[in-house]
Amino acid sequence: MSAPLLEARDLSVTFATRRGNVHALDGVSLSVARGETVGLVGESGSGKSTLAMTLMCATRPTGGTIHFDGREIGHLPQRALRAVRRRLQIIFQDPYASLDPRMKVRRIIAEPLVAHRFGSRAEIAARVRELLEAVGLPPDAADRLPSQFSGGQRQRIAIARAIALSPDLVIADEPVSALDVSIQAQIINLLQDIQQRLGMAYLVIAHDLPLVHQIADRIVVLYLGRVVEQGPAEQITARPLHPYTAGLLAATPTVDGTGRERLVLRGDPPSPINRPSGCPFHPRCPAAQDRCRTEAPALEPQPGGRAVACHFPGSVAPPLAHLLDA
Amino acid sequence: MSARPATGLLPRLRVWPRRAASDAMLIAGLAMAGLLAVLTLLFGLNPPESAYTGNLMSRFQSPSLGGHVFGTDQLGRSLGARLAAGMPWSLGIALVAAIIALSIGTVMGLIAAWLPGWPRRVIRTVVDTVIAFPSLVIAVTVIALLGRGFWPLAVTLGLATWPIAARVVYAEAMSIVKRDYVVAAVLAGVGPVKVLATHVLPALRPTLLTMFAFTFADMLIAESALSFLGLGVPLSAPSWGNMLAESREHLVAAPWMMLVPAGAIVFAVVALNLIGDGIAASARKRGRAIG
Repeated sequence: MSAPLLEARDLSVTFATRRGNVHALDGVSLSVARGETVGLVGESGSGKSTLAMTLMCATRPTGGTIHFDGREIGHLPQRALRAVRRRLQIIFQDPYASLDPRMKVRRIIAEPLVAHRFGSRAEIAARVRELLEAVGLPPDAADRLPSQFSGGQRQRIAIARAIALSPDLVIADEPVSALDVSIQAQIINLLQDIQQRLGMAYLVIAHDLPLVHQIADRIVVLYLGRVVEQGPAEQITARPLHPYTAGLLAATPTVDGTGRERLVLRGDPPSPINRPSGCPFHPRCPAAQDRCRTEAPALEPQPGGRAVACHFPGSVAPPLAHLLDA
Repeated sequence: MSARPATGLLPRLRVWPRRAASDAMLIAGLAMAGLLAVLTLLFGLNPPESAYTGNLMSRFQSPSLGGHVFGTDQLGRSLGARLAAGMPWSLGIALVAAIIALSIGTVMGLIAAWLPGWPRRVIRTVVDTVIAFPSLVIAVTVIALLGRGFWPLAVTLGLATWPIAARVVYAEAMSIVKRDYVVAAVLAGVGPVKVLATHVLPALRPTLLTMFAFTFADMLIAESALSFLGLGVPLSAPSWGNMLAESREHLVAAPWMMLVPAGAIVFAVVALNLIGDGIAASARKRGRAIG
């Protein structure tokens, strides 16, 4: 297999605060191949958004490397990053915050085109029309302000901006979590549709595992700034190996209302300032044993192209969950 | 737009009068300021002869509709004409000073907000130092060096005031540069100057307009105070502060000599404050609507 499009190795981000150092990311490794969709899952505070900002080089890593198309970008100076950013774009979570309320849609979508000297005025105008059509908005949307659109339509505008330069990778940070449930499927479909036509890779960040399962080829589960499990989407949702993944899966209601076996993730994630000893998940883990309290598990490869960071992988599969429910 | 459901009439009733009040303030302020601007252009730049040439036969005439509307001074000069002749001085100096203060303050505030590290530290230190210094001392020193007159006074006031504008712009810009749409522009590859000009500055506009009105008013008062102290414009120029200074000796005999320029200053300051408050209120309103 050829080299991955994006490869992060041992990525660490530490913020110094008054109360101590926050390890937002702690040795995260992750790769995205060309045309692939990788889903990144975790609770709030797990470091998902920090990872997105670090991969976009908006936050500099304190350790580790980021290779984009074979080139190290984690420590490039701002100026040199411009060329990379042409091929690496982002969709933000909140389409009410990510579009300048004073700017007409035409200018918002044209912004990356103008910044990277896409072409003449006429060419840019034509490209904006093309992009509006690609995201399912009428041509006259260009002359309106973001406030004249609904949340779902605004996210379409944000998507149009992100794909304007036909990037190789789009990072979508919770692209639908700010939207009505009825709109979410439309936006997911749009993202898939665009991927099929343009063939870019996605890194989709979400806290909703089933949603990620729907679009991702591979899933990476993040807990407290560490990767605890990764592998093909089908396998992870069918048979989670890490108790945390099992918990995320069980936390989602099912359509028929009968519910899965209940496995409750008790408590909040611990503070990233005072990380627990041993396995970071042990205070909340229903299967924790003495070893988990002292020894941090490494991310070990598993059959089927999977990897998990757990001393007792598969010990909390949903079928066993009722025994361990608090 | 964002999640403000219309729950019957009550919220509307509560919002509407406030909206009307802020609009009325803005309109009244603009009308008063417009009147001053028109009078300045009509009479101020080409004042009637009676502003400088007195008629000793008509000294200390109190205001009357039949004769001199605003009365006359100790030399029999028309106070109305002098008021008009003082407009380009008082209003002009305040206007130029406010423009200087806001221009420097905005640029410095934006730089400090955008560039962490040494640019921010240097600017913040300079701002704190200048603010800690009594501005009257600065003004006296600079005027002693540059001499009196329109430009020395305008430049001095502007230079003494920009740190306040810089502080306001810095505080506001710090929150604006963290907004997603600004980050989005940076990540889209837009250069820093263009991001500041197209995203940050427009978001600052209501703040800048409000601050401009208030700074203009402050500068007007400062100019009057300096002239009153004899540190302002040349004594021969009938700036409103100079008129106040001259009225001091005749306060009992001719109180209108004090009341007329003081009233003019109050009128202009009230107009500018109404404008500032009106802009601030309508920006808050729009901010709520945009969310």
